[in-house]
Amino acid sequence: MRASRPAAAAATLCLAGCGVLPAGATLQAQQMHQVWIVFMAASAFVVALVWGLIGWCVFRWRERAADRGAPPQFKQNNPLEITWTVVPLVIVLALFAYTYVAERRVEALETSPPVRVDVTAFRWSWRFRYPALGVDVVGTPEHPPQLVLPLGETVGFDVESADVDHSFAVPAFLFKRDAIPGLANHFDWTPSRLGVFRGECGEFCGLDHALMTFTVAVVSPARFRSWAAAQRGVAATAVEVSP
Amino acid sequence: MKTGVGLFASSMLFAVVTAIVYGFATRDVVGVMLLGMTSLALFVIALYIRVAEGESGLRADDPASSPADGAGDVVGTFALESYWPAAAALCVGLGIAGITFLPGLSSAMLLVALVAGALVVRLLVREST
Amino acid sequence: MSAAAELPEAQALVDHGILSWLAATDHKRIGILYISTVFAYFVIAGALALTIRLQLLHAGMTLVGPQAFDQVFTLHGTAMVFLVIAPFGFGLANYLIPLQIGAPDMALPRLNAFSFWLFLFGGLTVFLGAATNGGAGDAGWTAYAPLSTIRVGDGLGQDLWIVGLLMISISTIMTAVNFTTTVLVYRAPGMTMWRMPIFTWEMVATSLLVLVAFPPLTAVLAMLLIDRRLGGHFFDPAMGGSAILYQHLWWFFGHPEVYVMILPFFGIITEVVATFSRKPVFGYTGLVLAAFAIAGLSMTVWAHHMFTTGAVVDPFFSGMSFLIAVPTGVKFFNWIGTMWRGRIRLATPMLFALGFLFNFLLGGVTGVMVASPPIDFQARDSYFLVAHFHYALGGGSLFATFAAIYFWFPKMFGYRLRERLGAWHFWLLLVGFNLTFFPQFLLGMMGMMRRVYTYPAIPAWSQLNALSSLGAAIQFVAVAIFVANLIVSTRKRIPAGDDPWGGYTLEWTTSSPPPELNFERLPPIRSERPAYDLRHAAAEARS
Repeated sequence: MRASRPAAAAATLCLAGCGVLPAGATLQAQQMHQVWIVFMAASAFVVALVWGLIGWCVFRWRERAADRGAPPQFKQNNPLEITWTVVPLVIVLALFAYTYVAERRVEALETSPPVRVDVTAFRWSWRFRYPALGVDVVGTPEHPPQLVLPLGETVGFDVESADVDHSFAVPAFLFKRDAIPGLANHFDWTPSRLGVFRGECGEFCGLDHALMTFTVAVVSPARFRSWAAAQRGVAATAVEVSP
Repeated sequence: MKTGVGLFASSMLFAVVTAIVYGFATRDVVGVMLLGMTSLALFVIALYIRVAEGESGLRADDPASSPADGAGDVVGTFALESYWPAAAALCVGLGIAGITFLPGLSSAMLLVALVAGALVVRLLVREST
Repeated sequence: MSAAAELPEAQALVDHGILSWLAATDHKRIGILYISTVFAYFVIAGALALTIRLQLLHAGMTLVGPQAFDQVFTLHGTAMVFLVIAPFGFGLANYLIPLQIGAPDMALPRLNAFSFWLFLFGGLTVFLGAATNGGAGDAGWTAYAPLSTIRVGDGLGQDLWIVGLLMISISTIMTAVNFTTTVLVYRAPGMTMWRMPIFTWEMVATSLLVLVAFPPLTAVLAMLLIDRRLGGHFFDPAMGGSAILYQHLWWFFGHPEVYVMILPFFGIITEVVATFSRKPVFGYTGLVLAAFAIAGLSMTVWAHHMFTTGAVVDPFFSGMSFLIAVPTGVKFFNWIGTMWRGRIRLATPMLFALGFLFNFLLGGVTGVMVASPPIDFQARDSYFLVAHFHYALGGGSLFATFAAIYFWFPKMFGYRLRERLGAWHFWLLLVGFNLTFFPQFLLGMMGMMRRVYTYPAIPAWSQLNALSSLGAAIQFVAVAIFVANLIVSTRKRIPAGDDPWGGYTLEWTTSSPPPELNFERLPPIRSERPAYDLRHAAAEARS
């Protein structure tokens, strides 16, 4: 797909430049970001091709006043039809293989991650518990909770819901995972950039769904440990930490 | 009715194969049940058409046939104008909507609606077949 | 005429007036009833959409509070899916199928009428919820449990939503039975399956989908009602139920439903593109096989709506979803093949068909994107997804709807719609539509979630939302122009004649509007273009 490399470059520049698609602040997100770019390049190629063909038809064969008689009334071309079935099939199979491998990498779980966080979603905020560190943070829509994570260390998440379906979503990490009552979801994040990022609820859950936000603060491992030590045993609602 | 049987039998086959592949690929009970019941439904329809209509040929399926050939055929009974559909829909609608109240009230509403509907129609209409 | 000899003398129950519509069983009248009702619901759903866009004009708007907003987007989605797009397809099919296959009416005319009235009452019931104490249904058009099992106020609004949909579900199944039976049994002599118009073929595939997808809808709605009203715990994990079960049942219906909302429109586009390219349909067999491939595959992909639940085997659904792109691509290439080396007339129906091709392509490629779970993890429930499905259903089905109206209105009513107003309608709708929804792709990538009544005061978000709302205003103007077209064209009528466009299928061989029982005399049917063959036989006879 030679034509798509310039398209891919253009797509990346445009989007990164405009700050549209977050670059991805975890290792997993960086892999997902690559998937976005590949698919956008492929899409750009297909769209350009098909729009181009349609535009060409309308431009080249638009009815003109001087036209006489009927255009050639052909109705099939078996080799062509087979080609345009098989080639897209090969392309989507390749895209699928690529997606499959990427998803396995993104969803890989470490058996004993250095940090564990239990996330509980409820109407309409979040609770973050670090069982090994004795830290418990609960939020409200007026005071959203903050999730503090250490840079470069893998954090294992356990996401559950106390009532209806919610979704634990952090756009900067290109990721969300649903919080479904009766189901425990597990995933790992390895933060790769310092900063404070916005978190949201990604599954409609009623009146204050739009206000069910939180923040994620990625700090250095040393700061993380000192924060955890200070928070141990303290009942916390909102904690503001700067990286 | 070869077309009809063919349509539903091949759909059933597709559903069966999908259910099997899906079952092995995902081991998910819900999906297998849904696809399995879909296969069953399609099987019942295909069976019905086969048993009820047999292999009767249609003039329509004869590529050399012309509309003139079908002159004098009884194509079917096409009811011209009837209040029954609207009245029946009203009754069924009320009956279903009534479920939102207590189930007992719903059954009573359905009965009342049916009787009322029948009376209204009787009063208003001369029925054509 | 094959049927005339055997029918009794027709005696009108009531002089033709408003009341006679209550007793209509003629498929043409029922088709017009459907389309008129659909248009009324479209205006309401559109007003709801404008309300959403106004509330989201910038961050922190207080036009509507969350309680009202939740009802607004629920009713907008429910109405557009169940009361506008899908029933437009059924209404048009009601009108066209008997005409296209050379039949005097549908197989079961009274059941047909029953389906329509039940559909009308179902829609009214859903909206009736707005008048209740707790307001209308407000759990989204998908009404996920356990959220939808919670009662707001007396809970009547959500219950009415459920029973309204139950009525619509029954109505739709009856319609599918009617369509399937009619096509299998009532084709005219010589009208083999492989000579049927593509639109009729698409309706066969659509009906098949309805027959297998709507029963699960009926089931899940009943289960929801039982959980809400009769002490059931199907979807209550605390009592041994499963919240995920709801999603499986809903989407096993929900995904085929979106194909029910596109296949008839593929049929419309095929008819329009061929007629206005003055060429036969290219790749007829491919189009038919693709329709059934799409229908079949659509039964296997439902949990691609559940990638973020962590409870399904993503690769199976991802793989099958990618596969659907292939037959869809085949259709696109067949349409291009139809236009290739043709003579393209840019009449209003063709403008809308081209708009469909332009827009639906974006809906399609973004669909392939979200079929990839790593992309879906960001896109799911964000405005990226909202943009994707609006491009497919709005940019796609809605544009095809207008193509169909401009194309078949002369046949239905005997007079034409104005071309100049049609062109204005098209261009404004194209611009407005794209301005509304393209920015939403960007918003979704940036992380704006759907179903939110407000959003944080991030400048880029406010700017994109403002653009989107401006687009909605332009779409409103476009639809107003369409209404103006209807009025102007009706006031000063230009007769259409039997065949204003040079169409190919049987409906163009009869008068506009067609007589009762449709055909005075059916022409011989020797190909998939009987009207074209008739014109050429007449031309040869003259020469």
